[in-house]
Amino acid sequence: MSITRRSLLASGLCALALPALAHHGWRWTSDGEFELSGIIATAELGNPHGVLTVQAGDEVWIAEIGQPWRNAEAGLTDAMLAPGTEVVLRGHRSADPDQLVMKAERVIIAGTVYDLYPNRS
Amino acid sequence: MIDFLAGLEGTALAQHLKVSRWTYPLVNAGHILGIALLIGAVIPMDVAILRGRGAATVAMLRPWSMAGFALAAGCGALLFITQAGDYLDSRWFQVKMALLGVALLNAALHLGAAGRGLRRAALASLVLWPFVLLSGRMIGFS
Repeated sequence: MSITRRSLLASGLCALALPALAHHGWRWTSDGEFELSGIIATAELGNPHGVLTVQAGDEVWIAEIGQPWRNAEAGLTDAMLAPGTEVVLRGHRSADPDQLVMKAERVIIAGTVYDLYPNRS
Repeated sequence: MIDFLAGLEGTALAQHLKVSRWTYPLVNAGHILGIALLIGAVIPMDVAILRGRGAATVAMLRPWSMAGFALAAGCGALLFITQAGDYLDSRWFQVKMALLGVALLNAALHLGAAGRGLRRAALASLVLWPFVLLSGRMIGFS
């Protein structure tokens, strides 16, 4: 196989993998800061990471928060993330503008900031 | 069935895995180690068979492939019970389990095979196992 064909194949495979990175790290998010306000509709908390669905106006967003130890270190309990809770999430949204998906660095409930990633600005 | 799945997820073991800081990633790593041993043994066996000198390679690597499978399956079962319902609903999980069934059947049916039948089985194995791995990896991305 020639080098060009090989790199074509490799970039093709990477393109396939791109939407797939959604659950790990920050590579899949855009660099700009993003804030989402809404009401928690569902909360799935547990390994490998917590996932909230948030009703924000007409839109339903999927917001990744921390795995249990990270949420606990930030001071968040499962009860605080119960459906119906008003929440503000700061972090980064998916680099794909069609996806209503974000990953939170900070969770704000009733004015209190819970910092999931103290080392990230 | 749904009761059974909810029961699995409700066990103390599943609950511990779900909230643990270290157990879950360790089990996850064990699953990967099992896959590494399994497929890392299967591919050299298949290639050796296709090149017509499989006997010694198979004698050396078959126990490693089986140990790898046992580790991957054991750790996989632990990962499964943390979200049993979600996994069963996942299309990629269904594809993976179907392919895994075919790959295991292919291996079991050709344990004592020789000649062309064995080579065909080796070729099938060489294709099947990487696709089991790929569909398994895709579960996390669906």
